[in-house]
Amino acid sequence: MNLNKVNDKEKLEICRKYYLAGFAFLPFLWLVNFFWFYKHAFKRNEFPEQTQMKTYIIRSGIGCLVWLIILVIWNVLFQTFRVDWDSVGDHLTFILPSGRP
Amino acid sequence: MNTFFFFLSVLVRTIISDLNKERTYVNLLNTIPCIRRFNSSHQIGCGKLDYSSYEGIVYSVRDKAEFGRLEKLNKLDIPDLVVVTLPSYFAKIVQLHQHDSGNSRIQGIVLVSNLDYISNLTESDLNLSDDSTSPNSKFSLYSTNKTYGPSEWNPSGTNFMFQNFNIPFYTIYDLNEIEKVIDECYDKFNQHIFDKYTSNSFSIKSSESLCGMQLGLRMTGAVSSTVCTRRSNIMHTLESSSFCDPLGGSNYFTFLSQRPSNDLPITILSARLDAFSLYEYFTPAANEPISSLIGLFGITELLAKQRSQMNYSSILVVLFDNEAFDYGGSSRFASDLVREKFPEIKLSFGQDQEESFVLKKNNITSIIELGQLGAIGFEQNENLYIHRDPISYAKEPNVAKTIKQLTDKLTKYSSNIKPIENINQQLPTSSIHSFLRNNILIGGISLADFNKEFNSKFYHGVFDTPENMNVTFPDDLSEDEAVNFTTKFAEKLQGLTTSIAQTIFSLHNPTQTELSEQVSLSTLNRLVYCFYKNTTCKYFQDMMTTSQWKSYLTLLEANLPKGKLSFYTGVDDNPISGKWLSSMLLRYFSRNLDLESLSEDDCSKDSEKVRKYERENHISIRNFYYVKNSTCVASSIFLTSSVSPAFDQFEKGVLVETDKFPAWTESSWNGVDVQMKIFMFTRPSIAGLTLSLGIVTLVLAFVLTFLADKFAHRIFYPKDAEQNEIFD
Amino acid sequence: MALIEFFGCLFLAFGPPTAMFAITIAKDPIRVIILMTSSFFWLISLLISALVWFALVPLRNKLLFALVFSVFTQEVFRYLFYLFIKKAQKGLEKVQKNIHHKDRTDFDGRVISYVSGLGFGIISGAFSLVNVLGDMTGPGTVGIYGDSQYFFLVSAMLSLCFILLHTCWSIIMYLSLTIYPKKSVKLWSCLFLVVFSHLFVSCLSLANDSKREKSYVYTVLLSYIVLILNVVVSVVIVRKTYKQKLGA
Repeated sequence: MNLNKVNDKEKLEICRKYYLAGFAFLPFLWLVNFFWFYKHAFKRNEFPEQTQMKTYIIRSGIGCLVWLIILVIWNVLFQTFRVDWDSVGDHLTFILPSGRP
Repeated sequence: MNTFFFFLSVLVRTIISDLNKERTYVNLLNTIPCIRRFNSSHQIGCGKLDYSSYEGIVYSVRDKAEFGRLEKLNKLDIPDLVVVTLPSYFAKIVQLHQHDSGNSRIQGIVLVSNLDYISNLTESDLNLSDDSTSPNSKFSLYSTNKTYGPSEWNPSGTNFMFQNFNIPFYTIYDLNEIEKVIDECYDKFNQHIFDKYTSNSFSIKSSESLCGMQLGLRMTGAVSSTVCTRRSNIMHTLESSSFCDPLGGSNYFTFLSQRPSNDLPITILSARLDAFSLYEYFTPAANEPISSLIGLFGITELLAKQRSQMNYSSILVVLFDNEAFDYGGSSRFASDLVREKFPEIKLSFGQDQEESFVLKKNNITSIIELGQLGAIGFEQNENLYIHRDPISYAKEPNVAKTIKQLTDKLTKYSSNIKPIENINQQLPTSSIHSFLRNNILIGGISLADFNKEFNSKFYHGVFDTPENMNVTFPDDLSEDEAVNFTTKFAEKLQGLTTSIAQTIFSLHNPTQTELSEQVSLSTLNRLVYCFYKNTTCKYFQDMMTTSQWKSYLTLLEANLPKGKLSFYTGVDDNPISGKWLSSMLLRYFSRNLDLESLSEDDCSKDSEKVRKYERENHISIRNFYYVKNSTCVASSIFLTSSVSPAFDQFEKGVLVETDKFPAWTESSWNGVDVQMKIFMFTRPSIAGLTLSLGIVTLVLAFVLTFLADKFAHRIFYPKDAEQNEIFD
Repeated sequence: MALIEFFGCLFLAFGPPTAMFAITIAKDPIRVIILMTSSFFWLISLLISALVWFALVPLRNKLLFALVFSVFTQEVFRYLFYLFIKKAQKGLEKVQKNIHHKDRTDFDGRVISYVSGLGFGIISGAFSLVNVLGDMTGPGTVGIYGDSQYFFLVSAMLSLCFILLHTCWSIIMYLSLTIYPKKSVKLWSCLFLVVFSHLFVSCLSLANDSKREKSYVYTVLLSYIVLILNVVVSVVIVRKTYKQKLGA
């Protein structure tokens, strides 16, 4: 989809749809939303829908960041404690390591 | 013309692509690895990690000087080594590695175990008992007892079997391969380089070529049986992966009386069936268990002749499997009896009558176990000793009574069977531990050739050979002569086993009759020859049908090369040559002599003669087969699983009662075609030369091509041509 | 350690062809197509010579026979490709004309001969060296039976030589077939040069005795001398194609 061919009202609609859909555990939608509309929200002259768009993409960005932090923390926890978590750790592992604890 | 026969050509390389591999690697196929095993909490053995390969420069240790040099080299920062050693230095090298295994330069240890290659060795050089000093102590009667701590039955034990190594261990005993590694690899390429080592420093010049070895198996299991059992059961992906398998096979047993019965007093005559060593399947096992098996078969043959007379008691001959690993087989047997889960045996007499029989513990009155018997082959040893558990002897009156009765009879029938000197001495390694631990409180004695500690220095090791038992045959005998040659061991064994048979015969016997025969010396001689000298002897062949013989030969080759018998317990009830052979021998020696002379047609369960016999005598016979010298072998031997009860819920991914029962498993591994190969390492100078030439060529090529492309018109156009001439 | 040798041989043998491909061929899709097609023709020639070798069981061990037969088969297929590409040339030129003028590159008989030669060369080099390269990734190198450790390096050098030689041979063969009239001495001497030098260099490799390192030196040296000779002849012939047009 080429944003140049869409008017501002429809741009806002698309931005809003991506923002709402991202709540369904889809942080990449938020990431895409952020980068796609960044130019329009911040680097353009004023247009009526811009403030609303700004809030959407800022919230998308924050949500994305939160997800990133959660995933990184979980990854570190899992890698460190998988062996210590015995049975729980093994059941959470998708590919069981061969020859190592 | 010579050059035609030594060549590399473009076409050869395209059509016959394996030529390179044949010139690069020498594959060693007859080598035996140390593999990884687990018990409920620990990991033992050897294995390599998924992502690393174990290779190093070959270094051999054949004398003190080479070992001393290795000690010093191990501390320096040199490339990795794979050490090939003679047995004398094996233990020291292992300790050298384990002392600082993170920084040790040793990446693999290979033991040369062919005694023909090694000369001038004393017995102390071969002191390699891989078991611990107190074998099976964790699952003995005394593991939690404060007065009776673990007793050192096996002072020669190195405990290597139960350590966890992070490098591969192998053993080679094929003479050709030993020569390839030591003579053609180390002596030819590496020796002069290592000889230049001084105490100051060691360096390898970049122009020197060194011979190296790559070895190892990738084990899939890790940590412990608990963990790998759990992991084997988790199936995230569609393919199920198995990480480990429980050790165990089958216990074999048969009734020497006319019929299995719970009504008569039952006497168990037992021996162990399995052994282990650090290297998978490689169990010469001469003293433990072959010597006891030979004794057991002699007694069985004699008592089977009295089958019709012995209607006052039931003699149950049992071969316990999986005993080497903490009494797995006997604990299974005993716990099945106690929980009344003993498998049902179907008996059919004639055509229509069928019964089922389940062995119960109520009438088992005594156990006579044959332990290590090998030391009687030496001049100075004459005696067998009667071992029993002192705790139950003191506490339980019926136990004491039974043991006293057995001791009295044995000492009466033989002056060379003696009770142990110290009455407070523990029961040594024996299957009786399992019965007493499971509350089957009966009188059990273990007859063995030692008093206070094992006589054998090679218990559960690769040098438990007949030569170390003083069983040797003169060189110039033909097979027929050798089969009748009487060794000291067989000679003394005859007297001792006859006394034991007399004792068993007289137990519960209302009359005072005694056996009129002795245990057959010729049977003992043949068994000694066939087990110790020639495992494919004619005597064994005469006990099997043609198809059974073929299976036997295939089994021999499958486990170990060169006709060596294996007594390892194995996994998944895989047939192992030594155990399978023992079951065939048990069948043969316990056969029903009344039916021995049936013709080939009559030798089957459906024949009229057999059915009539079964109906008249209310006997059920399971197997019939006909062997060479016109003998019908009609016998009933039964199998029960010898896998430890801890694995009763293995499919659910849990182990049960691991404090009460052992939980030994063997790791699975990813198969490789060739486990060990030797090759030349690339000379650093050549590698460097090739890389620099390559990079120079690459850069030069780009530069020249770019220039050629730019100035193509000037190069290819003759001076007097027009531009953009389109040609043809 | 072995990987160092692997990369060295890889760069040595395939560096120049990669450079030639990247700089002269990759920019034009038609050239890429011709390269692939000529590689395919070489593969067919290898298949046929392998089938014949397989079928003539008693001669399987006589490598000389297999070698000679393969050389002749390759040359025959080189000629067959020449006929094939000649027929396709008109169509390819039409496609060329449709390309935007800015992107158009040279396309004529010289280019075709160079590209098809390189195609033959790359595929033959790949087949001869890939198995050797595969063995170089393991920890070991040749030598335990007494062979020289320079084996890998020499294999790579000879492969490179062959790749470049195949390029030259196609140039010489195609261009001489185009500019010289049939049955002229010059034509036949050019063809003879191609076939004979191919035979010569292939048989030279038979003379490699891996137990004596000196034989490697002679073989490699002679092969590269032949290469230089062929390069000179091909440059001369290319220049002649222009003169011919003018002169005629």
